[in-house]
Amino acid sequence: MSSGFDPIIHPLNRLQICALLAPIDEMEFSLIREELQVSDSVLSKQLRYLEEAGYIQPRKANQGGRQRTWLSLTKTGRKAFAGHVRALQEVAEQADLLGN
Amino acid sequence: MGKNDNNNDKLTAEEARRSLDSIRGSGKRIVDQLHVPWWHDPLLGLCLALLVMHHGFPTPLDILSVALGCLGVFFVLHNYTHQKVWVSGWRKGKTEVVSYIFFVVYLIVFAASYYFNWKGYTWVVPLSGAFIFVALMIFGRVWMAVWRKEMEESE
Repeated sequence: MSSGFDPIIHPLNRLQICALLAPIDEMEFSLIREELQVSDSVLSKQLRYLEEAGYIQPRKANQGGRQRTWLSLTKTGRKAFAGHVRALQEVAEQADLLGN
Repeated sequence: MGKNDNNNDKLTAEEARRSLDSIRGSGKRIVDQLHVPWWHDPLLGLCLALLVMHHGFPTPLDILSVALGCLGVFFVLHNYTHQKVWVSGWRKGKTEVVSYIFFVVYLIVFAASYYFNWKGYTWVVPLSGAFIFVALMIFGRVWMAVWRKEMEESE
């Protein structure tokens, strides 16, 4: 197991959240939900794990009379995501070399 | 932990490939979601042009143009950061180079405009404003094209 492997990021939904947030600054909650095709509660739960780990940061603002939330990856989160993707690539490449 | 959690120490190649497949195409999906209102670049260009030209206006118009320029820039940035997705002009990568080039061009035009106006060539003032407006429009398109390409290449 590569040292970059991160069990917090590894679950599919969380990995996809990080992949969506990695190349940008912020994305709104509703758009992440649409992209992942999950319910509000499922997304909130996954985001809580990432937030508790210090990987994402929410920003809330009122717009058009309702509260909206934007999410961004923190510096720690970006580093952890990059390391995790590298670990996944290493495992896949090693298996390819061994012909698995 | 969630239903799809995996805390096993052994990550299989199959699982790694499945995870990588699940995030492939994220860049393209983000590109499709980034919608910048059409009026952002023209308004930002107009504000930056005002800020470049302000020294050529008599008082209190010069102060008013600085205030309007700053307010306009703030308004555009505020609106941009309230889109569903937004990306900083200064993000790391090739787009950062494009931003620095524009920044340097802006400083040179500002300094040249100030200097030549001081020397008596007052026609330089509107010319520098027009130049910055056009440069911003071009810069906006180039920046977006570079970003899109970078996103697609990162797949």
